Parts: sequence; C-alpha cells; structure tokens
Amino acid sequence: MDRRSLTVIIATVVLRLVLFTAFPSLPNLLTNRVELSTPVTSFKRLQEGLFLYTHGLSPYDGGVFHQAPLLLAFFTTLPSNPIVVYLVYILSDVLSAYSLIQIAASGVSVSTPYHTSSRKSSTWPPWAVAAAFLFNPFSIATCIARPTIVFTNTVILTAIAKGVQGRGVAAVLALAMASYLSLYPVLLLPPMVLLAHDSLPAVKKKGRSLGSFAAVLTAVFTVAAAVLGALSWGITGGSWEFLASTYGVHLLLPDLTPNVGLWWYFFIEMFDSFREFFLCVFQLHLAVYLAGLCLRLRKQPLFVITTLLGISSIFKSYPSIGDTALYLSLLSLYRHIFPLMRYTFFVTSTLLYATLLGPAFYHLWIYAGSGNANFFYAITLVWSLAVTVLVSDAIFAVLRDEWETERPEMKGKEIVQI
Amino acid sequence: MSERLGPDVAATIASAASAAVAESKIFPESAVSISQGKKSPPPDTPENTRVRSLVILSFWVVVITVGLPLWWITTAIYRAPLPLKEMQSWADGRACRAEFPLLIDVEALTLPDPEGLLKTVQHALDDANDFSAHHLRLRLSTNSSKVEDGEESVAATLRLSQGAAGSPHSYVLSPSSRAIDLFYSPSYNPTTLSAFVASTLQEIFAEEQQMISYLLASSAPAPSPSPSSGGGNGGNGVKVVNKVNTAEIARKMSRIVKYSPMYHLTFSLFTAAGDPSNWEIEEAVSEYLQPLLDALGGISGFTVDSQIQFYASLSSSVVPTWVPDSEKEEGEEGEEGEESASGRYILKKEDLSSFINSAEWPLVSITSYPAINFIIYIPAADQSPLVIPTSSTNAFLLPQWGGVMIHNPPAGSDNTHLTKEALKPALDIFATQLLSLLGAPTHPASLPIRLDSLTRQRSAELLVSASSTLGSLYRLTLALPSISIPSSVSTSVSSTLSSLTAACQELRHGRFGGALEEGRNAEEQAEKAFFEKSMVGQVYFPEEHKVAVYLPLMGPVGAPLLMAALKEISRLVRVWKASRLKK
Amino acid sequence: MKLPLALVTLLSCGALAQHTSNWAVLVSTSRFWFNYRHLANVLSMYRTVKRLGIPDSQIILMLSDDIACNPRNAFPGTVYNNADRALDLYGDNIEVDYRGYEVTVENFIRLLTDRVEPDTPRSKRLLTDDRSNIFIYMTGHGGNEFLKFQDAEEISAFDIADAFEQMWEKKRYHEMLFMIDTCQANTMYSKFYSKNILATGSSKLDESSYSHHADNDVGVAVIDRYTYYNLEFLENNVQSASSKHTMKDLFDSYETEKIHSTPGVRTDLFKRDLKDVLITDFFGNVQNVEIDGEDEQKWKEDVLQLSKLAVDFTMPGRKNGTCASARESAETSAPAVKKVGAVRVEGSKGWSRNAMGIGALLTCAAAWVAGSALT
Repeated sequence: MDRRSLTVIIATVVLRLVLFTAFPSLPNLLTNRVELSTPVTSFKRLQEGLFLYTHGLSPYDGGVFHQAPLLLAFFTTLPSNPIVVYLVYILSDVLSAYSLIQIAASGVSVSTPYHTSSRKSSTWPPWAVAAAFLFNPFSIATCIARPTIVFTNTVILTAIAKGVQGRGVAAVLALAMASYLSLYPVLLLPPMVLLAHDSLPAVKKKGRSLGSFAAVLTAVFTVAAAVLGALSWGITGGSWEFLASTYGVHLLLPDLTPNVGLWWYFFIEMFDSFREFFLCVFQLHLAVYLAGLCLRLRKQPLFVITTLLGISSIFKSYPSIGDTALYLSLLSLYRHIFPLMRYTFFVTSTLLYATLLGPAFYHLWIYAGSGNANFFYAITLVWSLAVTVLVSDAIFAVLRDEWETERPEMKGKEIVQI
Repeated sequence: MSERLGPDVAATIASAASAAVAESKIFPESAVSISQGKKSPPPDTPENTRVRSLVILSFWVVVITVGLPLWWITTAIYRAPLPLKEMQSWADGRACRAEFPLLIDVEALTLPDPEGLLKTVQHALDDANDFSAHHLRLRLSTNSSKVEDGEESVAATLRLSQGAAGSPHSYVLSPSSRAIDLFYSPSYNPTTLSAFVASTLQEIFAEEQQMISYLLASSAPAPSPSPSSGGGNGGNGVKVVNKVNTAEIARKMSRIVKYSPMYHLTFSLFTAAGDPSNWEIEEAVSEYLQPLLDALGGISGFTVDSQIQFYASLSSSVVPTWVPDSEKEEGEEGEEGEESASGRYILKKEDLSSFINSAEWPLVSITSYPAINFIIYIPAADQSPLVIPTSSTNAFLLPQWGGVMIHNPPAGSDNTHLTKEALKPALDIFATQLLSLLGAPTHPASLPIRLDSLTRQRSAELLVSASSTLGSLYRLTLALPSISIPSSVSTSVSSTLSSLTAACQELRHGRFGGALEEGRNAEEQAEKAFFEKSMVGQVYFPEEHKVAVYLPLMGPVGAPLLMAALKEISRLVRVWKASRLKK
Repeated sequence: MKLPLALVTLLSCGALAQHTSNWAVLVSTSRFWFNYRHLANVLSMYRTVKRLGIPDSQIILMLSDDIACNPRNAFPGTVYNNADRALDLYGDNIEVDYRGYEVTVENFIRLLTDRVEPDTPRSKRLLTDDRSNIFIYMTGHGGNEFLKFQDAEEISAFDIADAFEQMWEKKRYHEMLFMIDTCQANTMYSKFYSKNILATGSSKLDESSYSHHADNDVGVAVIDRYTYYNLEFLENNVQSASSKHTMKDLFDSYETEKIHSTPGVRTDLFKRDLKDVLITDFFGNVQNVEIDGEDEQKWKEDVLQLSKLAVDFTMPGRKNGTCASARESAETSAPAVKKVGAVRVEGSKGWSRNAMGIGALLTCAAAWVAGSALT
C-alpha cells in the first residue's frame, strides 16, 4: 500500500470517528432510515435479535430479526461498548477499501488475458478508487447507520480481491460467506469462477481446464455453505428456524417495510392470487441475466460481477443505498470507460434528485401525513431508473470499448445502432 | 387524494418497473449490433454471431425451463380433491336411509300367550305404519335381563297386567320413567287387546314420528327416500292423523332453535318502575330449572346468566288497552279516573309482536353460541294488571328467540324483592317454553320418552343439516370453478362423511345417543368445511383484469425477448437456405 | 306414493311463508368529507330500520365514519340528512360494526358468506338462517357493474351475485331485499341469480344518481335523491312495525321526475307478489308470537314435577359420564386458551452458548486462513 492510499484510509477513519462521536444522535438517526436499513440488514433489528439470543430465547421469535446467526455469535463476543461497534464497522470499510486497492492494483478492470482496453492509460490509481469508495456519501452514511450489509460488501470485495489474485478457493470461501450473509451474492459464483480462472498464473493454468476448476470451486462453495449452515444450526441451539427466517424472508418478502427497491409497493398492490407468481418472476428476473452476461462479457468477468451487483442493487428484494455504494465503488475501477458513457449527466442529476427528495417525500408521507405512499414510491422509481440507466450505460460503454479494441480505426467516431 | 393507488395504477407502475428491466435487458443484442456501420453493415464475425445466439438462448432457456413451470404452478388454483359423488349422494339422501327402530320391551307375566299377542301387535303396527324409517319393534323381555349394556337402548317398557274386573283396556304413563303400564280388561280377548296395544303405542310415538318424517322429508329433494316405502298397503286410520297434524307440525318445527351443542340462557327482568330491585333468580334457576337442564345435558349444554333492567319502557307502538272487568267489550282507552273500578289492561296480538323493545332493551348476547332469552316483564303500577287475554299463563313464546312472561305482582305486597317462590310460575313456563324451543314433542306425558324423542329428532336434524351442507358445498365447488379449495376442506369433508356414516349405523342399531354424538361431529365438520375462511376473495376475476396483470410482463419484458428470438430464427433460416443453395 | 310428495310441497310452502328474524346490512362504501351524503344515506336507513324494530344486534353497519368528527364539519359530532338540521342522525345509540378501513370488499364478502376469522365478535357477523329476512342497503360511488369501496378497491356485480348464491346455498336467508343508491345502480343487481331476492336501485345503466340538496352551512350535499324519497315514503306511511303497506306501494311511489334517474326493481327472482309483501318484512322486525294457550296448561303443570324427577334417570345410550363429556367437548370446542404467561428472562452469561459462537467464528477464521494459504 502506498502512502497516498494510507493517507486516504486514515483520513476516512478519522472522518467516520468524528461523525460517530461528534454527532451522537447521528448513528441512531441514520439507523432508522429505510433507505439505509432494510428488514434484513437493520442494526436495530440485529440488537433485538442479540437481546433475545443473549437471553436464551430464539432470536427469530417475534419475527423482527432476519439476519444470519453468525452475526449474533460475532456480536456477542464483542465487548458491548458502542465505540467497539463503531470501530468494527470502520474496520470493515477499511478492509473493503484495502480489497479495492488490491483489485485496482491488479489492473484486471482494464486488462484481462483476452482483452486489453485501448484506454488503459486513463484509469484511476488505486488510492483514488479507494477514495471514491471511502468518501462516497452513500458509503459513509451506510457505515454510520451500521446495517450488516457493510459486512456483506466487505466479504464480496475480499472475494473479488482474492479472485483477481487467482486464489480461487479463498475467493469462493469469501463468496460463500457473502451468500450466507445475504443470499443474493450466490449469483456471483459463475463469474467469480471465471475471474479466478482467468487470473491464474500461466504456469498453474496449464494443467487445469475451466471445467474441472469450476467443479472444484463449486464443490468448495457448497461445502463452505453447508459448514456455515451447520455452524448456524449449532449457534441457534440446534434449530433450522434460521433458514426460513433469513433466506425465507429474502425470497418470500413477508415484510413490506418501504425501501429504495421496487418490490414493497408492487406487492402491497398485487392481487393476492398472483403474489406467488410475481415473487417467482421477480426472483427469476435477478437470475436471468447471469448466463447472458457471462457469455457476452466472457472477456471481462470482473465487469460481469460489477454488473450483477448493480442489477441486484436495483432488483433484489430488500435493496439499500449500501448496495448501490458497492456498485459505484466497483464502477470506479472502470474510470477509462466513463468517456464512452452517454447519460452520465442524466444519471448524476437523477441520483441527486432522488437522494434529496427521497427523505423529504418520506417525511411528507410518514410524519407530516400530507403525502401518501405514492410520493415515496415515485422517488424510489426515479432512483431505480437512474441506477438502471447507469448499469446499462456502463455495459454499453464496456462493449463499445471492446469493440474499439477490435477496430481501433473507429475510436471516437459516431456509431449507429441497428 | 386517494390514499393508495388502485390496482390498475399499480399495474402501470409495474410496467414502468419492467420497462426499466427491459431497458437493461435489451443490451445483449443492441450492444452486439453496434458493430454495424452506417451504410452497409459489415458482416458479423462468426464468433459474435455464436455468442449472440447463445445469449438469446440462455434467456429463453431460463424462461422456458424455470419460468413457465413456475407460472403454471403458482397461478394454478389449488382445489383439493373432494369426494363429490359421495357428497352428492348424501345431499340427495341416497347414501343413508335413516332408520329409527324403537325397541319396546314387553313384560307380560300374566298373559297366557304373550308371543302370539306380540306377533299380532307387531303385525298391526307394521301395517299401520306408512313411514317405515321410524318403526316400533316389540320384544318380549325375560325377567332376568332387564337391559343389556352396550346394546340398543329400550325406548319404552310395556308392562301388561290385568286390570280391575269389568274395566275396559287402559294404560297409564308414568311421567318420570319409560314404563307404560297397560291394564287389560279381564275379559281377555286377544284381538281387541292387540288392537288396543298397537294404537296405544302409535299414539305415544305419533308426534315424534311425524316430526322426524317432516324433518327428513323437508331435507330431501324430489326423490324423497324417507316416507312410504314400507306401508304400501296403507290406507289405515293412522294416516289420517298424520295428515291432520301437518300444519301443526310445521308450526312446531318453525319455532325450534337450530341445534347447537351449547346454548346460552339469559333471564332478564324488565321492570317498568324502579322495583323490584332484586330477585332470587339464581336460586330459582338452580332449584326449578337446573334438573331439566341436567336432563337435557346429553343433548346440549347450557350456560345461564341474568340481568335486571329498571324503568324499561315498552316501545311506543305497544299501547295496552284498558278493559273494565264488568263488560268484556273493548272499552275506551285507559281512563285514569276509573282507577277504582277493577279492570285490567290487555295486550292485543299485534302488540305482542313488537313487545320486545329491542332498540332499548339490552338483549345482546356475547357468546359464540346461540342465546335463548327469557323475559319477565313487570308493568308499572298505573298499567297493571297487564294481561294477555288469550293466554291463561300470561306468557307468550317468540319462535327461535325465547319466551316472555308478564308478571303482575299481587297488589299491596312488598314489591322490592322477588322471591324464589314468586318466580316459580315464571320458571315453570320458561321450562315448557325451553322444551318447545328445543323441539321436544309435547305429546306423551313421560319426560324420559320425550327427551328420547328429542335425541332422535336432533340426530335426524343434524344428519339432515350436515348432508345439506355437503350438498351446498358440492354445488358451490361446481358452480364456482375459480374458488380455491384448501386441503383442510377436504379433510373436514371426509371427517363429515365418516361421521355421517357412523351416525347412520348407530341409528340403524338403535343407539341414538351415539348417533347424536356422531351427528354433532358431522355437523361441526361440515360447517367448518363450508365456512373455511380462505375460500373467500373475489371469485370474479375478468379476463381484462388478467391482461392488466400480465401486461407488464408480456409487454416490456416479453416483446424484446420474442423479437430477439424471431430475429435469431429468421437468421438461422437464412443460413440454412444459403447452405442449401450452395449445394 | 303421491301423497307424501304432495305433503312435502305443502309443508315447504308453509315453511317458506314466514320468517322469524330480520337483519339489515347497511353499507356506505365511500370516505372523505365530500361524500357526506353517503354517510347520511346510510344513517337515515339505520334510523328507519331501528325505528321499525330491528335490534342493533341484527344490524350490520359499515361506514367509513369519518364525517361526524371531521375537522371540516361545522357541526362537530353530528350528521344531518336535511338542511333543516332537525334530526341529528349521529345523535345517540349508533353502533357501527365495521368502521373506517374495515370497510373493504373482502370484509363485506366475508360478512355475507360468514367466512370470518374464528375470533370475530358476534356484532360483526351476519348470523342468519333460512328463516331470516335480510335487507341490504349500499351506497357509494359506482359504475357499470361495480361499486367502489373507499377509492381503493371495487366490488363487481358478479362478486355480490356469487356471494348471494353462496348464502342461498347455505340457507343463510329466507328472503332478501337489495337496495342500492349509486350511479348506474341497477347494473349491480343485474347479475343476481339466486332465489328470493328482491332488488331495487336508483338509476339504470349510463345514468347518474343525484344528490337531493346541499346544506350551505355544512357545505356539501346531505342526501341522495333516491334515498330521500324512499325515506320520505317510509316516514310518512310506515309509522310503526304494524304498518300494512306493501313493497308495491313503496315501488309505486318512485317518480323519475323527482329522483332524476330511473329507479329499477327486479322481481324475477322473487316468488311472492309484491302486493303481499309488507314493507316491514324487510324494514321492520315483526316477531311471530305464540301465546301459551290452554291446551298446554296440563303440560305446564307437569313440568315441575318432571324436571325434579329428571335428575334420577339417564338418557338412553349414554351413561352419567357422557353428560360431563358433552360439557367437556363443548368447553374444548371453545377456543382453547393457551396459557400465555410472561416469562422472566435473564441476561444469562451462557458460556456454553458463547463458546459455541466463538467456536463457530474460530472455525470460519481457520477455514479462511487455510483457504487463503491453499492457493
């Protein structure tokens, strides 16, 4: 790690500590924001679960807590000092930043064995990528609000960092942990395998076909997931209740607390008889891109992962700002394609618009009573639209970049899509 | 203004969401097709073509292998299999021919040829009976074994003994046992005796027979199974009796409260003034009524409460008329001046029908089972005595609701307290009203026999009502194909069916207590099946609503997918044609 | 063979000719201040049926109930149906059974079909049987074959027709009067197909129903025309429950010029001639009365003695015990009360539990180290 990265990290740690300590009411204020805390990540609900757990009751009694049991084990072993909790979350962000630095340093975003961007030179240095993550207001707010999505993000970034180093087993172990924490990262397994395989040093790669490599990693993933499940079973006192209360909630959406996603309103209004069907459609919708993206962007598996994270930050059942922050930080690895994007102004302004109006409309609806649910839902629609445009624009830019690499003569020229 | 968006707006939003989905979905092809220049699109590299085909295929594979089955499974209406045929046959009354064989023990120690007599009587009874489901069977009881346990119960015991010399045949029915003491005239003549025995038995069970036949008949539609199969050679005198009483039976049936395993009895004292301020209702009920309630305990249970309402006014439409004692003619309205003259206030029948001032009298039950109300009304001093001229008891009965008695306290007595003894006449009336509200036949003097009849009647009623509920459920499931049927309904239905079958068996073997038990279960389960709370919801879901539901999927998501597939297929066709041309 | 059949028909006719109880379901499906008149419509009907003797326990009142205490109400706590403000409909003794957001299509259909939650109180249930006459009055905003419920959802004519059919199948009514005052009201009863329903509505297809007049101090219309003229007839002619006016008289009183829309009556499902149908068969509660006559005197006298002796015998086919068991079963059939007690929990320093957690965390860490080292 170079000195600049270190400076960035220290600066951001100080910033976070100041926010935590100088504004004592800020953490709890942010914890209550629906944009930051969802039913499956909320710190408040975690505390409820912890209380029940330490009092010898099932943490899932009462239907409030929907998070993985290992988090309970982790937080019970911590000293119950808020400063320690703050430090844990800050450390988690630092680890994320460290992983991002590693990923950026590896240069996988611009150059893979099959593809090297012609715009290689305009990429950001690692410290800048770390700064883009650490100083992103979304990341900071997420860190202060302390949802457990922070840990998921860290683990995902760690997995990617191991992946770009060609350390497949470690990458998959981390991914198993991420999936264990919040289910949807399981979709990242195929691109992760591709990423790890592509990043293998040429020497090691020789004897191992992609097929056998994938089989081994999938097996490792399965075993790791099973072990995590078994450990959870032990932690919750020999009960499988946690499966339905965590993953069941992700899949079946019993809690319709508003969030930045599209699901809650849709399923409030949905005819009951079609609820199951549309649950399936929405879940399937997340998975349907996987194969297509892996095929089309075979040359850049890291971008597949990035895009999948972007898609799931819009369309998963309980998305939050933290998911978008993760996507944005990974997107900052692709600084070189920004000039190829067409709607950056639109996206930026729309995101700002939604960010500013969202809390206002939420206030009008919930507290002032002068608005209704449509107000907030309209804003979440705008937000989702902005992120959707960003995701598709980024894909467009990456494909254009690939194409320009094939046809250097067309660089910078107008093209028509037919 | 509206607090929530309507479903149609929701669909629009869904389509907006899906439009966003689609936008990101189109990218595989659109991005690929970028590679074509302005004028003449340069040919795609074979690798690009292959990737594009694979991408499109990958989407379609997911849609077809996962999406379609899920669509099929999740939108299918779950309809648990129901034994429709059996349900229908019960509803039509074909499944079970309810039989009520009543066993009558005959003790004839002094008779020379009891078997012969029995045979003739039995023959006479069978001949006279036009409702074969309900029939009497005679059995000569041996002195030693009175009642075998577990076997069918004895409906009555007929004790034949010789009467006083010169007297005609006669019988005495003990009010508290099932024994019928029949005294035959010493001038013993088997023919007249057997005729007398037969008519006696018929008379005793006639009302019950009519009621059960009415119950079974009113249940079954056209192919009425119950009456008139046995006595084909009918035309006996008994039939006439049956016919005459049908209106009376219908009236009796109409006042019966629907069967419930529990009833709540509310005793209310409504007084037009401030006194009496208390009454010994608890003692009175436990002394006068509780024995009857205990006796009825095998059929239904009872809970009891009581209340007093002071200054309870009659509704404005009830105006008692003053009638002086001397002349019976309808006098002018109660003139206060004539107070000294003895007379009374009378209530006409129209007054009685709106006597209950339901707007002001608190007669609301909070129990989950039906309530039966008994009201004692004490008129104000300036309106007493208040009488119902056509009633000897100053009481009347409200069908399916309860009974009312108007109590005129004797003048000059202490009015602040209503003693147990003063309540006795009222409670006696209430007891008879309760029996008639529950449906006990009025006829034979013996209470045990009447309660036995009530058991049989209630079993028949339960059987009929459970069967008809099954029939309703059967017709509904056919009439409303879009209603879902959860598996609990199927469980309840099969439980009903087995209970019904068991009840039918019990009846056939003359075990009426068991039949009532099974009937109760059948009824409960049938109600549970019919009133399954998830079988609700808007049954009607027109096609255009479905279009609105599916449009967000079919439009923005389906269209690009379909277009891509069509393009791909047309390309493949072109390639295939080109390859044929080459050859 | 023929005799019993004839007997059956005779009996069934006899049984059908009378009802023993009257129920009323009065629904206002709209909310918000400017729909004042719908609430007034329903409360006026409520007052009328109550006046004619239907007890509150047999009236199901469904209202948004947001008018009387609405901040815009210049006369707080009151609802009037006339600009003269002579009669406060909200005055005393209003029992609203379904209030506010409880007025939903689902609740309405559940009420009709009695497919309710097991713990629903009696006051929210329509506990009718095959001898009950039901009067259903609905008002709100409707259209062709639908009626809106509180601007959030709608009930279709098919839904109501199917619900009525389910009621008929389960013998939940003897006769029913369906009265509806909305725009295009007559379309709402056009889909009925169950027997013994008499239906009437305020306006035909593509016709609006209009309000009668507005109260300038209240600021909104206070009653609808159709309901107004119905009430006028009932107030002027049906003074008490013993009134002999018939439904024909009521329907004949409808005048299109006054109502400003074409009221409809549907009688094809209804068996009796309207000339013979008393208004109080639906709007009132006339109880049949059986006066204890002399013939029952003897029986009455027996009873005391009999009931005293009743203790001494047992019913056939059951022993003494079954009496108790019947009670027990009755008790158990009542919702079993689970003993829910507060349990004091203590923050246990469960070391085994903590150890388990620490062990799990260590396992994860070990796996991670091993996995990292492996590659």
